[in-house]
Amino acid sequence: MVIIMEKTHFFYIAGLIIISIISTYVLIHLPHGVPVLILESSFFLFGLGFNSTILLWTIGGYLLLRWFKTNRKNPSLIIWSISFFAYSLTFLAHIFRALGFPDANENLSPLHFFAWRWGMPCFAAGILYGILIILTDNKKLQTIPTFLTLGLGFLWLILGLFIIPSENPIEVTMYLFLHTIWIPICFTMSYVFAFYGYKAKEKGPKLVGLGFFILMVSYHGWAPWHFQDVVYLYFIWYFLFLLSLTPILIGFIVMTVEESKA
Amino acid sequence: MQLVLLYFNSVVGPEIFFSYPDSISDKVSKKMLGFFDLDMTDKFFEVSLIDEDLKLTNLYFEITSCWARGNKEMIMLSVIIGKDYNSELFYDTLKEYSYKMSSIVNLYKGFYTKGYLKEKDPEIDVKREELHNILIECYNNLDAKLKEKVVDEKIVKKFKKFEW
Repeated sequence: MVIIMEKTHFFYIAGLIIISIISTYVLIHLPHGVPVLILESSFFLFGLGFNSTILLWTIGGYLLLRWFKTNRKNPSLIIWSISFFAYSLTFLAHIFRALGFPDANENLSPLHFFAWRWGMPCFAAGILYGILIILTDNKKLQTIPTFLTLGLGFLWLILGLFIIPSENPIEVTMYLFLHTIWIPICFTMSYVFAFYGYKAKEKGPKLVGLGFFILMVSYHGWAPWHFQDVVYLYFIWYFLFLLSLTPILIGFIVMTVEESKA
Repeated sequence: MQLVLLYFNSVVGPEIFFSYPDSISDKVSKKMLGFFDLDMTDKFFEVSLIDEDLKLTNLYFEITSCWARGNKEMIMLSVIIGKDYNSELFYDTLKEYSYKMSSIVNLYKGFYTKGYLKEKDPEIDVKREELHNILIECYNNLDAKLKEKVVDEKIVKKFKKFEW
């Protein structure tokens, strides 16, 4: 009887043995962790960037998995998947910047900012295209707003960073981009998913809608609190942004579950 | 969508009293009169007309009447609509208006046209107009509900055409 139980729960018993060994070592030696000095003053950026990247990749990965599982018939899934991966570029930069790579510092120059932020207009255009595919069969209505978003997004980046003279080109760019493209598109996504969830009486789309709403709110704080004297508050908005990704991920998963139950 | 009111005319039998916004075809009309004659246990029932691709959603009810046999007017309020619609969408509204009609004093007089024995009763025209107005209001409410439902189903159908 005991032998059978041990075989069935091998991983549990093996886990307990490993934990016991580690705990015994820790309790005897009371080890002092090895310092990673580079993270001494940037641990919060590392943590935020790392968690954001993991969540964005999980969302992108899940959408990609669903695209395969549903026989590649839902184009929105693959478009959104690519969009989330493209968006994660910005947060990868934060991880590497926190680890001390100078070229990963997007605030180093407008060119650096552009190099790490081009994923954002792509994400905005991608998520818009994905939702337009669902909402209309009219190819013009699908493509024109998408290309306008993409074109305007890059136009704001180029104008704000390289052409309009300003002491704070990055902030000017983000003011333009966030308040004319990003925030309205996040609100559109939020509304469409919430409306669908309400009408279909499903929780999944409502959660996705909630996620995009919080995402939109978090970006309202980006530009005004990005200046050096108030930048500590920017990190609060960053925490909020991180929070917004969770309902988006859970919402997409629940959509699958609700569909299989129906 | 069409709203139809049938009642039992004590002289000629079941009769279509009201049809809005258009009159209904003879074929459908004959079938409806046949359903009115059925001794239904359920007050609310639906009938699919396969050949016509239509669905009839019906509510049978009675209102007290001093002039009718048995002191009650037998009435059927019906909605004619495409067969894909869910008839339960209309139930609450039909029920609400059946209560409204039952609660109006002497409304039964509206069913009695000129040439009938009580033609001199001055209330006939007044009640007929009142009845007509209630039915138009009922139709407008049903129509608004239907339009709202169509919008609801549109967004749901758009998402449901894909697998998630």
